[in-house]
Amino acid sequence: MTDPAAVAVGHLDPRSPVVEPVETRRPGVHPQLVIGAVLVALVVVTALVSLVWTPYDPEHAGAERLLPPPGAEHWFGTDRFGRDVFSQVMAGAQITLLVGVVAVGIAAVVGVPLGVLAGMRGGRLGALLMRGSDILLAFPGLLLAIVLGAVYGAGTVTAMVALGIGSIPAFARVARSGTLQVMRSDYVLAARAANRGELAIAARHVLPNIAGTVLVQCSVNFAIAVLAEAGLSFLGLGTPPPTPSWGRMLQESQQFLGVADHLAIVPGVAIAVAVLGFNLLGDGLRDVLDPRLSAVSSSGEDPKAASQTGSAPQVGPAETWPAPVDKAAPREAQEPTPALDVRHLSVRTDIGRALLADVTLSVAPGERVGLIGESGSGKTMTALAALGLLPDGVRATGHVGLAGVPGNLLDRGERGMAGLRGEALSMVFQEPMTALNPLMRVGRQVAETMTLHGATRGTATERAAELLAEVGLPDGAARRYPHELSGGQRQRVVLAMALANDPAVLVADEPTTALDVTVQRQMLDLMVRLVRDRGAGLLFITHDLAVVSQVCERVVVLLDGVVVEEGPVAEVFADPQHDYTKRLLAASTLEPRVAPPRAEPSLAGPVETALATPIAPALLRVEDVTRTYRSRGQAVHALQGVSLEVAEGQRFGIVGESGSGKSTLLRIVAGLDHATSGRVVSAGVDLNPASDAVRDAGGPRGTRGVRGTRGGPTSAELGDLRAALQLVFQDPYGSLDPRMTVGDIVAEPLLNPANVRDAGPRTASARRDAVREMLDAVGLPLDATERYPHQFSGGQRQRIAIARALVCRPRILVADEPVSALDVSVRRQVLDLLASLADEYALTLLLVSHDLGVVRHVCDHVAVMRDGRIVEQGPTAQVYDTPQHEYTRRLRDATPLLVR
Amino acid sequence: MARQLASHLAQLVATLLVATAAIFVLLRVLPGDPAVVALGIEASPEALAAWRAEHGTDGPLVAQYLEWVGGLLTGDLGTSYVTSQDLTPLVADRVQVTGILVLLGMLIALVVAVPVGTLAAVWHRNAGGVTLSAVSQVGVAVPNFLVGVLLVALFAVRLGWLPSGGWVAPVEGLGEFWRHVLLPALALGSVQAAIITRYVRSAVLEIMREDFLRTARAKGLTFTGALVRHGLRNAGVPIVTVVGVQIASMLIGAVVIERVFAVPGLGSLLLDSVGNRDLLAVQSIVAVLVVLVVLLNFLVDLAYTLLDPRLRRAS
Repeated sequence: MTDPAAVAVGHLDPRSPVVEPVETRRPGVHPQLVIGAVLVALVVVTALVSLVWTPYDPEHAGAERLLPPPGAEHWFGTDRFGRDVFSQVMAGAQITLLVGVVAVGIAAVVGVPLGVLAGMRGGRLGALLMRGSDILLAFPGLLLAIVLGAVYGAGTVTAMVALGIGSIPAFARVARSGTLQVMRSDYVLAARAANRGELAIAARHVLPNIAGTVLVQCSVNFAIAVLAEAGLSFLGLGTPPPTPSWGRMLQESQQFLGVADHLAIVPGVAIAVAVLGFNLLGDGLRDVLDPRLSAVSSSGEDPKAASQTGSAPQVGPAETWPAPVDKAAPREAQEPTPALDVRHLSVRTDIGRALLADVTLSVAPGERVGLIGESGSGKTMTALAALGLLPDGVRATGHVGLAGVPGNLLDRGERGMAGLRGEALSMVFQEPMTALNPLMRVGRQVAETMTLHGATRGTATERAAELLAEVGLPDGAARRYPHELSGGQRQRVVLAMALANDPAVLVADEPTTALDVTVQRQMLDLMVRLVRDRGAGLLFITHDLAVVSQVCERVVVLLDGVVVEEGPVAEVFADPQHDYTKRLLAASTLEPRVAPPRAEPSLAGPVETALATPIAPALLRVEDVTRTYRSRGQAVHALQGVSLEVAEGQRFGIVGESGSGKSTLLRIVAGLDHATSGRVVSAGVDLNPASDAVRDAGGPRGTRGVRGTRGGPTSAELGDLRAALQLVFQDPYGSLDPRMTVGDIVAEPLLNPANVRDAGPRTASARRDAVREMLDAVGLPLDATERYPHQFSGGQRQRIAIARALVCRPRILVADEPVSALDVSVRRQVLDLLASLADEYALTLLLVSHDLGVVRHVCDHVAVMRDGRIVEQGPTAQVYDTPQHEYTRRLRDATPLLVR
Repeated sequence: MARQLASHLAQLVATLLVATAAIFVLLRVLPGDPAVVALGIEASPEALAAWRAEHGTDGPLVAQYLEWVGGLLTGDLGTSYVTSQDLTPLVADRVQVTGILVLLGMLIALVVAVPVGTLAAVWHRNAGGVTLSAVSQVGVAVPNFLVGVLLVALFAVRLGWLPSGGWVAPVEGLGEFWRHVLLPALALGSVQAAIITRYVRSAVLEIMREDFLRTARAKGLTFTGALVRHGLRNAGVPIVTVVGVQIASMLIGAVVIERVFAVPGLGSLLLDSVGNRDLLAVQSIVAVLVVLVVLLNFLVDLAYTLLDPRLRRAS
């Protein structure tokens, strides 16, 4: 079976800031949930009441008159035997609920453990379990009930069991996909790194996190069971008479159609109410529990909120803002006429939350303007408003003018704007992986931009090929589908589309944030050249000041939806006026680390020779390690002969772009993955390569790779390693279990006694103290223990992750891109925190980053990786200043430098 | 592509083998000796032996299973234990009836669901969309046999426009065929329309949030244009699955509708056979239904690969 979800979810680079979601719905009661709950409660209460009271005996004839219509005496009339229909419907609720509860119970009790097992173990067992459930899928509950009825006789029990068995696959699937998602998360990786067993992970992380979806499935399957039971009773294969049942009432009513229609309508409505109730309840629960929706309030990241916590970043009360100036206000004398002219632009959600306030900026023809801001500042909203692409529930006021186009773009409406978009005003988006239609060849997508604005199909196709060549794509790229291209190539396609019709203004929204440094450099050069060739204006949106200093002539700084400063790049960067700009500039400059003598392993000779042959014992030794795994039948050589040594107390950086193998190396060193060959000694533990069986069981994130029992280290050795080595992950949003309090998260490594050193905390209160001490050390308030991760900003979450890593007092701290998902102003704080903690706790630091500047700021030694190999290593200053390898030079030169 | 197809086919064969084996165990092995079931416990050993020889139930079970599966493959479903009828032409005839009913029902469902679901998604923030969504939600909750009963009450009993039941094959007269098929197809299709509307709505809603739809608008398409040219085909990928799964569920669900309208389809035959305790007939009909369901799932998988280039692995 193909899993469409696996295809639909593309790889999102967490390095790219989250696109600010727009909160347009008031939090509060969810109508579907409430209506569903009320209807379900109605059915349940009816069933309970009918156990002790019904107006008449539902199973005995009582009325003098047969088949009377509804009236005062018999609210819903009586049937052909004179039985009271209302009483029968009430009593019928009992059977309905009984069958539903038992069927859903069977399906959940069998299906959920199977699904969790399949999801956690993967491999053959998982595949076998899922094939079994696929086969069961061929026997829908109704068919199973008929078959079992034929063999064992029809009846309530047969129906319940058959419907239950028929629903097992649904539960197994939901549980498995939920489990897979949880197992892929960094917080499970963190739990494994903290040496937690499979059972503990299942109980503490998997089950709580899939409980919501299982609950939804229960509700939905309850509705299915109610319908199926009614159908079976209708066929005479359900509950035998005289026990009242809605389905049989309907079946019996057929003889009296036209005479007594109420006999059909009343039980029919009862069935519909019950099914509707459970369906609505399920839908409502799904919406309420959907992490994408609940994450809305917290994914907006904002430097100021970092110290406040809790609420989403907010611009401020809308009333305090200056009223938008009259749109017809006389234009300031400005030469030349701007190509793009945004004046007093305000954007608000329908519920009155302000996203942008009175933003004024302009782009002259041929001018390149940078719009700078951190996530949540409203920079994307500015672009979307200008192009008329604002999401639903958000409204813009003010004025947007475009040279050669009369009037206010905001007044043009969708059709009018469509005529301009791609023609006079075009845009490049942040995320190249999802910006293209996956089902259409890229050549056609580029050509479409031209045919939409009047070109014939033939010329457009020809021109598309030229454009794709112009943006540097190889021949034949036009015939490719997006998934066949890399992120950088896809972004080139988007750029080709945006420039196809020689627009007057190009808006580029973080166009290189998701790309590797060297690719970013090429992309920026290309964009600047093409924009300059065409004489187009460029509005360049980014969080990266260094990029702006290289690309743009003028800069506009946006903070919380308000322009705080603007001017020529050179002036603003040399002499910032606003406090925020100053802070941003200070945070953006990562000066090289001044290596203190303390950490240097060599006290004797010159630094270079000392580092080549460390005198201090190597805490970490990697010798000629390779790692090959199979992906879709093809061998992937993630590491091809890597050797390095990290001495005790050293701060070792590993730099490389995506696919360089740096994360694989890190996981091997941490004992979370196995080398294919070579030798790894990590904190005194010898991590031999595993046997073939274990190695091939999973990819770099395969769950089996960790269990290495054959050939790999023993579990006791792994325990030693994990007590000594802890990890901090890249994505602070994914590395903390959303359903655990911060206190529990930080305390989790302490729960395994093997992790606790001799004098370490062993009682609950000692653990609490240890957690408090750690939170204090990372600069978080002590009351954080009782709160949940979503109540914290990205920078704070990363502090929580650091606290968790250090609570067991490891000797080595491994940090995988610890700041790449953070805003600039937070990035530096976290780096400096890491550095000072390394001193305070005498840590050996292994830091992986794509950013040479980050490594230079923190580390005294660096290894540069590319395509699974280390191309160069040595003292950071030496590698940076006099790179020996051509790639190191390219990497360094591609890294944008803040020119002030 | 070829390798992928081969692996799909291998899975298909394995699934069919296990599924038929399950049916065999459930209906042939567990109920006990079919000869005793047919002739009663008082039958003489000679009579039982003769019956077994006649119906081929005297060999080892594995041989019997293989013979039965071989028969299924060659289109020989065996002879009814009870009526001694040849099952193949009977089942083939009934499959046609149910097939027509189901396909017509699905056609009705799609004609309604695709536009309504799309509108419900596009208008999801205003009253129109909410109303459409609410109506479909209620529609999902109504059992199809209730719709059938109400349709009969209105169009057959009160208005007398259409017959309340029965069946006329297309070859016996198209006009009468339509008069008879309309109400059952409508009953079957209307509830499916509601179900599929909900899937279409959520698929389109999902697509509306996609980045590439925004890119399409940035190229100069209006929202509607982007949705039609780029969105719907992408939304079609998940909808195709749903249609496959729903056709499978309609095949089974038709049992009930056939009962309401006295349509001589596969479902009625199944129920009659269950009523007669004609276990071989039940066994063969269930096998036919299961094979159809499995084949549908297989076709859905295949359709996926054709619709979505990301699933076509480079050869």
